[in-house]
Amino acid sequence: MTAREHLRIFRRGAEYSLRVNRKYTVLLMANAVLSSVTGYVPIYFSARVIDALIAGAPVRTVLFYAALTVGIVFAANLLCTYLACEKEAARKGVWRNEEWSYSEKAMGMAYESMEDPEVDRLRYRIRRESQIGQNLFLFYQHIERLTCQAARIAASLALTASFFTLPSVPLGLKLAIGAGVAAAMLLQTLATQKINGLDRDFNASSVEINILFEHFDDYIAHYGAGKDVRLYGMGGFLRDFLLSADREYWERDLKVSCRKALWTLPAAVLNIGLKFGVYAVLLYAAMRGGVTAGSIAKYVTCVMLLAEALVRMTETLQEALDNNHYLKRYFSYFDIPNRMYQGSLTVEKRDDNEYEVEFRNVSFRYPGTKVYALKDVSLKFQVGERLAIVGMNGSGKTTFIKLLCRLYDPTEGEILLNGVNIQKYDYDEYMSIFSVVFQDFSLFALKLGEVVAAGREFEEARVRECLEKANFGQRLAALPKGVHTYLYKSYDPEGVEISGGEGQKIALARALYKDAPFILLDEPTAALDPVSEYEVYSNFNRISGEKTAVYISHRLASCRFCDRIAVFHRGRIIQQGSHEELLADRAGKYCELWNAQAQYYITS
Amino acid sequence: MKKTKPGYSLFSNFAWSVRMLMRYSRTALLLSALFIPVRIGLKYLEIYLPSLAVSEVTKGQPLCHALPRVGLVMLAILAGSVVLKALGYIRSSALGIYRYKMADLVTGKRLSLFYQTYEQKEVRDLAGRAETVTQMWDGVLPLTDMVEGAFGVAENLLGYLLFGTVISFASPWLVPILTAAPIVNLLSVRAYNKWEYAHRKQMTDLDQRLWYVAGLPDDFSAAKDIRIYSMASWLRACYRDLSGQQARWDKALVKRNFFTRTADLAVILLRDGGAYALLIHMFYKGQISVDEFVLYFAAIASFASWVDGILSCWNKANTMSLKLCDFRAFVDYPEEWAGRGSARAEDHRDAPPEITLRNVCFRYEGAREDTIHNLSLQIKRGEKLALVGPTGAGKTTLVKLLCGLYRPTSGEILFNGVPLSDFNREEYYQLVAPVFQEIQTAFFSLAETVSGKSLADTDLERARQCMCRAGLGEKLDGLPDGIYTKLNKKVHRDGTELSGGEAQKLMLARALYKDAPLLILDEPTAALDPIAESRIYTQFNEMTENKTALFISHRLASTAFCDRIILLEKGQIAQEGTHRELIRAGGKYKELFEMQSCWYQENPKGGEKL
Repeated sequence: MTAREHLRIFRRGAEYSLRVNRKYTVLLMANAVLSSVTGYVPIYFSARVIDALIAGAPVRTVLFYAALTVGIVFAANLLCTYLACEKEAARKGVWRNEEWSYSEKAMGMAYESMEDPEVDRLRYRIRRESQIGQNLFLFYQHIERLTCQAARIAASLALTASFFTLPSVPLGLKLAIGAGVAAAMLLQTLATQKINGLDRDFNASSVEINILFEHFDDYIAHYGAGKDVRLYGMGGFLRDFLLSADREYWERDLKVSCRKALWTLPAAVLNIGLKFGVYAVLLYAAMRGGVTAGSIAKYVTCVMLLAEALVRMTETLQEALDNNHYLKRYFSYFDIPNRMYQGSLTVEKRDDNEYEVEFRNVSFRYPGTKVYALKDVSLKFQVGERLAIVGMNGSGKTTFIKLLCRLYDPTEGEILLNGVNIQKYDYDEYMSIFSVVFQDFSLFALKLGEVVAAGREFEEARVRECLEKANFGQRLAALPKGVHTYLYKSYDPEGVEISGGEGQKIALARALYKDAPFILLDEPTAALDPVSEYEVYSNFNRISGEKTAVYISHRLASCRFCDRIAVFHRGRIIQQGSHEELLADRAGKYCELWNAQAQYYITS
Repeated sequence: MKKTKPGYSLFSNFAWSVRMLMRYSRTALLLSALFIPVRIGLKYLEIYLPSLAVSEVTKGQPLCHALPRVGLVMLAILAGSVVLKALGYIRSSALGIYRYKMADLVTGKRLSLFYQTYEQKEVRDLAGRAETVTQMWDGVLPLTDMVEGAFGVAENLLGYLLFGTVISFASPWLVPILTAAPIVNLLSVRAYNKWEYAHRKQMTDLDQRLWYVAGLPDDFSAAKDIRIYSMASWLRACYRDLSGQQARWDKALVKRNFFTRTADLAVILLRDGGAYALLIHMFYKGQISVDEFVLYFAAIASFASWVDGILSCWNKANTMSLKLCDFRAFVDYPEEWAGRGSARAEDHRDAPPEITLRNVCFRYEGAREDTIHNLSLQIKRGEKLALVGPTGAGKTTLVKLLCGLYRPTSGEILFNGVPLSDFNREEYYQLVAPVFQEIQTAFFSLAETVSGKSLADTDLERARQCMCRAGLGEKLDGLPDGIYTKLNKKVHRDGTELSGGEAQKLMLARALYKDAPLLILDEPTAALDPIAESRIYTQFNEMTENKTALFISHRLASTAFCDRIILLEKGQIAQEGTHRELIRAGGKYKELFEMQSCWYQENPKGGEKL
């Protein structure tokens, strides 16, 4: 990284810590200064006490010094404690904000990025790095440590200044001590650099395995996996797999640790050598009467503290430079652009629901793949029409829906709303015209009413009406707190468990509540039993009303209610028409699909 | 709020930790033990050094007398600090090894505990908590911190005794003065802990909710819905609300903590003041010399750190010990149903079994009604049985009972006339091959996913055949690495993702690979297109050859090739017979079938409603 880049990241971190979490940062620094300086109070006064004792001062003087020591330390510690407590509360708040910032990012970023494995990798990596104490939290620590060290250096210098002005110590010895401090600092800096480098390399080479660990935990914790693992006797395999991955990881870690251990040796030796040197000089001076006995300890302690603070300061600065690599990656995740194309047009609100959507020669490839998931698809939705989309697994049906909902942008061609490319519309505005029930819909374990309204506020009567329309009425009546009941048990232990079929009904109710001009249903009956399925089919017209409806299903029975059917095959639309028209084409794909299913139901 | 006592005492947890360390990482144990005397020795030398210097100077010793003595002490300090720092790295690696081996115990339990037990929310929560014990979070790793805390107590206690002895040479009065203080300290800390413990549940509940909401946007499967329904502001409001509640708790905790610490500081003020006064008094009486004053002075100052150390380590050990209780409670969770093991699965593997249900009832924990009620059923050797019925009729519960994942509340299930409880539980699993509705795949290769074993233990040819039989032949041909292709693109850059239909086929392939005598298919075609669905139906007889099979589906078409159909309603058998018999008999089955098939007739009757 260049110096300019380092500077840019520092500035960004500083801005962030001072703007977003100013209170925490200020508390952190205040506490750091105060707690560092407090340590010097007993050092200073104990020298005075000892000298007073040796000099045979009156007992009152000595007692006064002792009382002063104890009193000042008490007052300072009290204040420190207060600051530390407040700081701790602020720190928790910072953690919470930090946690949520990932959630905000996940909700704000383009769906395409969300689905991109590389983005996912990046997210895993920075989260992991935050967890092991890198990134922003280390940045705060650096602020704290640098403040501490600066305060220590100032205090040490203040207390040792008199030593360097002592006439009884030859200049050469003073310089030698200065040189010793510098040498200890350099050596320690080098060692720290090596040790940090080892850590960084280790972390970089562990990204893949850490992703693996995380996914492994997710898999094990998953509800459904529990049955599979038992019945398919996978326990041994899974355990062995994890153990061998763990073993490999920790063996590498141990090797790195041994190398780190070796690097600590030279600095430790030099440090003790320095301390011995300082003692020697002071003893020499004391014996010649240049230094009082009480001051020996004071000077030695302060010189060593000075050396240490200097070392720590360079260490911290180095670490901070090192952390910039992590911060850069961290910020790069949050800098991923949120939306693909930020249009600005508003969607005209029309009471007559006259929204015309057209696919014009649309082709699409998923990022990083060579095969087209959709190829040259052109289709115009008639207002108020019911369109069925059928085809085999992997024929491009769901991709078609994803493009329509602007979760992806077409690779080629364009999609038009009332004649204008949909990318020109404001994203949320465009989204407002669609109600979708995806095959893999998800419902949160929150209040039923909120879930249906997809928001904090909900109109109770309308929620109830939509649930009834979606055939959830009977179950709703049986719920203890009606629409105020929580779903599942993850959030509220008093919540109710619901089956897959019931979930599908709630998802449908959510789509109805939104009351958008387009309603898209992706396999809405897959998890339903025959009775519920029948009800959905029979009510299909009532459910879709005057809206334009798109219906994807493997249950071809559903096509009967649709005005038009589009048959997808290998990313293309190969047939279009009404049920009767398509069935008439005996050689067509639709006929093949229909017969494959209908043969089991046509009773003689 | 129910007040629950921790399941294991601190001492028991410590002894257990030491035993576990003996088993999994002796290095860590040895180094932890070694560090105790080294740390104490270092501390003593650090305070001895200034006193030595003062003594040499005040006694007017020459430099050649003083320097070797100071040098010797420093060499000892060097040795000690090198041991601490260098071996500290090694120790943390050793603790890492300990950590993963212990985590394996939780994993092992998660993977083997009786499913009915494991499915309960409390048990799953306990498992979750047990897992966090082995994970570093916010700088805390309970599993090893417990050991550090306990060793810390020992170290500080030892230091306390040694320094106490040194100080008592000066005046026996000092030791009680210095010891009385921590008792006040202990009491105030205890009051704080009590308060925290009493409110712990509320706080952890809040914590869980916060985590739940924060995790929602991260959930990839919710991403589409969040966008389409613009849910961001809703989730944000939820999180803000919870976060605000938690901030209020933080404030309350901080306030308590501050008062606790204030009491401590006041005690320290009295203690240090008293000790200094006594020492000064003694000096003026001529009872101690200056260098002794320096030594005692320093000893008293660091004496406080031993006492603080004892308390903070004790607290740490206690807090961590509480968490460790979760770990142990889960790892030692009693196995409710291990099975007697008097029957061998081996003897039943090769022929299609006969299954008998005798007055079987099953009720979920805390439920008011039976999900399966007094159900008796005989499945003949090699019979293909279809199980149909509305949602909530108990079909999936029945499958779990047959798989041995649940145990009947009353009544009995017999496999070839042998009660299921006669089999060793794990062994019985070998006899069943189910395909469940929900699909969960990890990130292993296709071959490993199909076999449930490592590649080395997988019969690759058979795995390939089973995948082809399940309709994945074409997919397999399209993958450059074939059967070695790994699942999950997020874990493996060169991995692949399966569509819902493909995943369902893979699950079927797995069941075929297992080749168990009892095959259970629970909605195996829900995500399949009509052609794939039809192919499964036509292959059904071939797949179930020489097996007893149970087929559950909402698609009543599937019942046509079964020997017998059972219509389940409210946990009981409402109707049974062949497709033809049931149609002829009229009643519920006929009604359901007509509902579904009407849309496929030339002129759908239901269409009149449109």
